[in-house]
Amino acid sequence: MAKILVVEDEENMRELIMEELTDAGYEVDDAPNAEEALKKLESCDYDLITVDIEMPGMNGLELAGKIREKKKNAKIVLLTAYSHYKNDLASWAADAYIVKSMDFTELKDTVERLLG
Amino acid sequence: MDGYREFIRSIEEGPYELIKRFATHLIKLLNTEEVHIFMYERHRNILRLTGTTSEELEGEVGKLKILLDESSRFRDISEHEELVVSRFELLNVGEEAKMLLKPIVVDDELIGAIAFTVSDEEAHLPGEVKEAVEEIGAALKLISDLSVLKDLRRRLEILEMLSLVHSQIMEPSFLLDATLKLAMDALNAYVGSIWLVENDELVLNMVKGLNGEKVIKNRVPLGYGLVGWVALKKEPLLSVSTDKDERAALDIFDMEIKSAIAAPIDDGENILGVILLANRREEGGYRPYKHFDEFDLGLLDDIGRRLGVTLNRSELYKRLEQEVKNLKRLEEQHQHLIKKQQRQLERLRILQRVSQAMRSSYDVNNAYKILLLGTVSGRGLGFNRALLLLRDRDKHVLKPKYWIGPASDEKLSEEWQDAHARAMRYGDLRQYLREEAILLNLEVGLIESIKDKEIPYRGNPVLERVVLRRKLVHVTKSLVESRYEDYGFLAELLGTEEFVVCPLSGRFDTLGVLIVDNKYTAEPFHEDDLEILGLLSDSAGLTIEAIESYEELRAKTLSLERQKDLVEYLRRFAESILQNLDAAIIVIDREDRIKEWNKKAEVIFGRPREHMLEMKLEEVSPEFFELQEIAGKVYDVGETITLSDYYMKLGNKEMFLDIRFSPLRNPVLGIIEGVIISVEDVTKRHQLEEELKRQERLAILGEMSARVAHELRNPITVIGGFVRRAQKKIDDRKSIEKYLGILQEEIERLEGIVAEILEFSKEARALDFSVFDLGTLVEDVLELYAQRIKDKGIHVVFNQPSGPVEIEADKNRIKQVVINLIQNAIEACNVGGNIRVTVDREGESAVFKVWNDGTPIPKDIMDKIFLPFFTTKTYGTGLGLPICKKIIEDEHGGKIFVESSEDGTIFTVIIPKNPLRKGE
Repeated sequence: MAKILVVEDEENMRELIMEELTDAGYEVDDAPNAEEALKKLESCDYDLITVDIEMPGMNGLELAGKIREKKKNAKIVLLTAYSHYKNDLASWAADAYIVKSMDFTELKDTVERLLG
Repeated sequence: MDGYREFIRSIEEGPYELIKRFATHLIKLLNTEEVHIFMYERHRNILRLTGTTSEELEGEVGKLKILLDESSRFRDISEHEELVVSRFELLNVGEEAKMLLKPIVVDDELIGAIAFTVSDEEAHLPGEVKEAVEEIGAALKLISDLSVLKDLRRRLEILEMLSLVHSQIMEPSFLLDATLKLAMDALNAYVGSIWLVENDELVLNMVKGLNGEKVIKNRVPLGYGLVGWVALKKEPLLSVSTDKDERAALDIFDMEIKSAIAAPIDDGENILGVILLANRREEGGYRPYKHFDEFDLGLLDDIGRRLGVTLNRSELYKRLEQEVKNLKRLEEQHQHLIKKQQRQLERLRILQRVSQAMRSSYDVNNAYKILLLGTVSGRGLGFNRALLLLRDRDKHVLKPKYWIGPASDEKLSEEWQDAHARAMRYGDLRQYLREEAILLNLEVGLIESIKDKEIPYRGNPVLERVVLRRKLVHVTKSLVESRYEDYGFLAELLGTEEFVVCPLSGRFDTLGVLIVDNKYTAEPFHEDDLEILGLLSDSAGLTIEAIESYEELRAKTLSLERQKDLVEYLRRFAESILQNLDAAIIVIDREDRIKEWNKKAEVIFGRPREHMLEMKLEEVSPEFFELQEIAGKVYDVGETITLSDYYMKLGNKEMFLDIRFSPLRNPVLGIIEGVIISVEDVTKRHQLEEELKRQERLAILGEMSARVAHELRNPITVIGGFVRRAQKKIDDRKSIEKYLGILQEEIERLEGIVAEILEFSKEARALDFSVFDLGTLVEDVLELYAQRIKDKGIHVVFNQPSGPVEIEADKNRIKQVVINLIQNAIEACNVGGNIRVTVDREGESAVFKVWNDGTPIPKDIMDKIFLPFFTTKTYGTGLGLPICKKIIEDEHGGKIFVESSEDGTIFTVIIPKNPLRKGE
């Protein structure tokens, strides 16, 4: 079973994402901020990491860069409430970029594609 | 008696013969043995035997005398009473025969006496005898009177002589000599002497009549002896016998003095001396007494006093003579001075002519020639030669310029005559100088050898004195000899040892040096020569300066003429600049009349220049009225007044103008004589600015919308997501309860956001002002956040004010600001960071500061942090600081700002004590 880490500062949003991915049949772990996420990555291997871009302290883009350095094989999906980051995606070492939506269909499809 | 004439003659021949005849006549009448006739001498109160019939007594005639004083046996005679006496008693000779002594009285005056022998005491005198006695009396009186007359005549003669002598002789020693001779002569003195007063002594001045006798004393003190007494008492004195009168001590001559008279020489005031006569000489005619008598004394006294007066007069005369001499000398001197002055005056006139001639020349070189010619010409000042040296101020040297003098020493007089003849051909000296000077070649002669020499004047005492101190120096032979090192150089150059070096003095500076000498005539230079040369060189200097400045002026005039074109060009240039300026220029004078209206003004205001000039701005159109009013204020403030974005509508044209009203100052009068109005049409710029502002507002709005959208989107996504999940898990009660809780939370969050937006966008709200202590408020808020601070391990310092800092404000709104800033500080701090909160009073305002040592705020963010919806936080609306700003600045009239650096970030809030109550 593929392992996914959800990095999201807003608790309710994190809960929502985790539930959706768990329902989709993945093993899901979570971190409320970048620092926690990096700690978890030290001890455990994840197949995919979803990173919220807007976070206090180290933001999602930065975190993605760090993860890419350490875990070359892990897939990274960036999540955002905004749509304007899309253009800059290429410069960031993320595998996908998804604008948050209520149904998370796009997220689930992308995760499945990246892990499949 | 054989007649009167015979009688007179006999008296003049000698009275004794006559009187003897009377006696003989009488003896017949009386028929007696002998008759003696005596004459009475009043001065001495004696009867003197003047005639006798006795042969025995013949030798006693004129000598025998009978004293009639008080003690005398014969004193009754004085009372005109006759006496019977013995012959012996009377005559000291013969027997005791009785004689009658009968006084002869004429007009009740004792004249003399007759003595004759009587037989008995009652001798009776016959009538004839009485008659004869009366006759004898009359005769004796005549004799006596005659001798008095004779004396008076002599006296008159002497005084006349004396007057003559005194009127002719003025020289004191001659005068004394002549007077003494005359006195001795008149008074028949053997010896005469004159003594003069010197201090307290009488000094023998002259003595006459000594015959081998010596002078024992030639000076005696005042008061000593006869002479001294007379001098002291100022009275004449007769001394008959030195034995009888101690005053008569006359131990001055080595001779016997039988009688002496002395009289003061007295000018009526002072005693000058004494005249002394001694020992009387015998003489012819009746002189009853052979020594000096009162009559002589009177005469000598007279002589003495006259001598005194004459001596005094002579002294005065001498002084007068001296005065006259002095006057004459003064007059001569005066004449000499007048002559000298006339000469000097003439030379001054010449000098003036030379000056005039120089001035009439506009050429400096020619003026110099005139100066030199005027100096040496016979019609000019007539010195022999002159050398002109000009000063080179930069090199500090003198350069020989011109020299004038005879070409050769041999043909000197010929040359001078020639020159004089030429000079005399001209009527006017000025004309001569002007015309001859032009013809002169003054670069020959002495000058040829030194033409190219440069003579440094610094260090040469003579030239330094002349050039630098502008003094005239007169060099003389003795000067050259004694100080050859200083003067020798010039002496050798000129070939003479006396010359005058004059500075050509301008008003401020020495232009050159003029050296003048008299080599050929060897005439020394006198004071007046130096004076004239001084004046000449001074006036020449000034004249040269005037000519030079004329030349300068001429040059300046030429260059000014050239400059005139340039000025015209510059004027056109300035005009063109003015007209082509991108700004409109309007100049108005103090009467508000338009003096300038350039092309750009025509364009901006759409009115042609020619219509505007001399008009008043207010007359142009009502829109200009305000401009004229503002222009009027420039006179008061004296400074430029600037209006930005001034709106003006002329017809359909709307304009925004930047206008500057500048004072037009008159630098000479120091007044503002008008106003320069420069107008720039900034309508386009204004429009651009407006557009920019609009766009900025739009951009902010866009950003705001995006942020609002984002803020809303997150909760909406979460709500939507859980609602969808709830639908799926409608039967899972546990999940549904969880989801409902989440939904509740998110909806509340949405409400908060909406409330904040509303809060910010609300225009005004009623404020609730109250007075409270800001310190206490801050303390309460810190208390509120104590747990969070503790959790994050932050160290907080609260700098309490010393007393309450009371402000009047809306407490809740201010609390909101304090909460916001402290909350921000806590969030900005790293774990274990520092916060410092300060409340204080600054003047009338309360100051609240919050500092933290968290990561500094970047500059680009700092500029935006008070803008709405700007936040670095992932949650929160970004309206916290904009709301703070609104509360502090808009609602309370205070100030809020942020400073950030490596040392930390500090927010400062300033609240005025009595804030402007907005919204009330």
